[in-house]
Amino acid sequence: MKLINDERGQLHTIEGLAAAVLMIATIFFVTQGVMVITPQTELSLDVQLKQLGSDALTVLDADDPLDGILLKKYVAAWNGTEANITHPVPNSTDVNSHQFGSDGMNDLNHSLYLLLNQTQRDVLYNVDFVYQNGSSSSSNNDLNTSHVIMKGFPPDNSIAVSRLVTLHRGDNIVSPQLNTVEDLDLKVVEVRLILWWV
Amino acid sequence: MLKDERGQMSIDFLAGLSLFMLALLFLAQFIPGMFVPFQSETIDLSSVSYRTSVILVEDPGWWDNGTCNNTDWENHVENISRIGLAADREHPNLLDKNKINAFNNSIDDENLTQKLGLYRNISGNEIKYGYNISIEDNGTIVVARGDPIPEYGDVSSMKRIVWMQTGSVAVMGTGSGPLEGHSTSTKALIYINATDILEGILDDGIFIAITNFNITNPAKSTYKGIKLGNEVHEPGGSGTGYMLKPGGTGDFNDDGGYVSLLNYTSGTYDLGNQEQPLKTDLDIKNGNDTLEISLAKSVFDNQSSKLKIDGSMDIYIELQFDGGIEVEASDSDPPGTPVTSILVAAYKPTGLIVKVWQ
Repeated sequence: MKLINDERGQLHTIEGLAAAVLMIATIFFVTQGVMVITPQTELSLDVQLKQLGSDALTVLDADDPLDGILLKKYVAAWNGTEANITHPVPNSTDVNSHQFGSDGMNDLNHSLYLLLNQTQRDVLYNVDFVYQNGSSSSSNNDLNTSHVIMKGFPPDNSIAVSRLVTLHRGDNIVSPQLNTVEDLDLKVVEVRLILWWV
Repeated sequence: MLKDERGQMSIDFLAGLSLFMLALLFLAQFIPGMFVPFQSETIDLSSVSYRTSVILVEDPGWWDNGTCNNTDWENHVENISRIGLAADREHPNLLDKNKINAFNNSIDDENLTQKLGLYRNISGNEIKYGYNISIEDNGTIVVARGDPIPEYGDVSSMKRIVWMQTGSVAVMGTGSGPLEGHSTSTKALIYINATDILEGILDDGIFIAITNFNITNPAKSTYKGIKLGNEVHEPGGSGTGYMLKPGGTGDFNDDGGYVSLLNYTSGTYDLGNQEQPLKTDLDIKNGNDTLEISLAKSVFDNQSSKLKIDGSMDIYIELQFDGGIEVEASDSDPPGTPVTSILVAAYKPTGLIVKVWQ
């Protein structure tokens, strides 16, 4: 009886208990804020797609002994027709090449399809040309983006790769949007390839 | 003794102390366990496959024997520093044929693993990755090194789009100058030197492409452009077609010694018929047309006919056109355009796949 009701001799125990609770609570609060490292598997899919897009543009930008630089020819031969959802692949870049042949309509699409089709998964892509509005001497220097191939609206997991193409007057530029080059000037066009897995 | 309270710790103090020590020991055991996932040996296989693909596709490689060094490691297999398949530094994604052959045949597995870095060091031991590196052309695998891909477990894969060199093509018409010929003839002449034949220029066959024709006189009658032979002529005569003349002096007033390369009769090619030159009804319509001549190695290996080439003689290829062709009189001896001066590498797009597993 006397032992339970006796309040003496408890302080050290309570102190030990409080210290233990304090230590455990500290660790608990610290570990709450630590981020758990997620495996990198989602990012590796992006790397593969981005590398494929970059490789496709690099391959088209190489100087073939018979065809020349195909990417430059596609940009120069573009007739200015823009693509939209109802006309995803308009008849706008007709360039016959030794490597890829010609389908007589949109050979940029034809070559990209043959190159990107080497993957086992399905890939959809859009191609945009980004260029300066007007010639370099005019005061209107806004950047214009023209859709050349538009196979869909890019979803959240899409990636974009770019390649710069330089044209001058001797390259026989067809489209009125790009054919603003005065005699010795250069026209720089960014070919943007937007890719996504389907 | 029992009533003496000196030299004793209170039970209260002991109880508090033991509670505290229990909590402390628990934490000392728990916290290091929390850090184990961060220090473990989990490898990111995808970074290994990516880096291997970059080394192969974008780096030309390097060899060094202490006194000299260069990027043609395929000729110095015993002194390789790095392996790479790119033709040169300025042209990534272009794979050189000699390097692909050396990669496929000249390096053993141990050397390949070391030079590509396909291993990791765990406390002094080398644990090698399993790998499979292949080049795929439209679904068919043309080059493969490594082990078969396991059916289970983590395998990371990286695919690159590359130009793979398939051989060489002699290109005329894009900056190489006009066709040349003998001074009095109107036949274009291309020749292959005997020394080059001995060095293996015919090993992959010869592929010739002539483009950028400047058409001034479209041929008469029903054809709209220059017609390349559709009549049977005597060998060496004034006719049209492709004719191959092994040996000889390149003097095309010499009627003898021509061996026709192929005889085309209703869809089939026949070798070694000496009477009839190649009949074609090719029509070159505009300047963008390309005339392609493809001579496979099997043509030159034909033991039974005069076409067997052993490198003791030069080879001349003569081209004649129905509407005539203007050639520049060749001032070199032997006359004609040497094939080696217009040879460039021919490429086709393929995929290079690197797969790595534990």
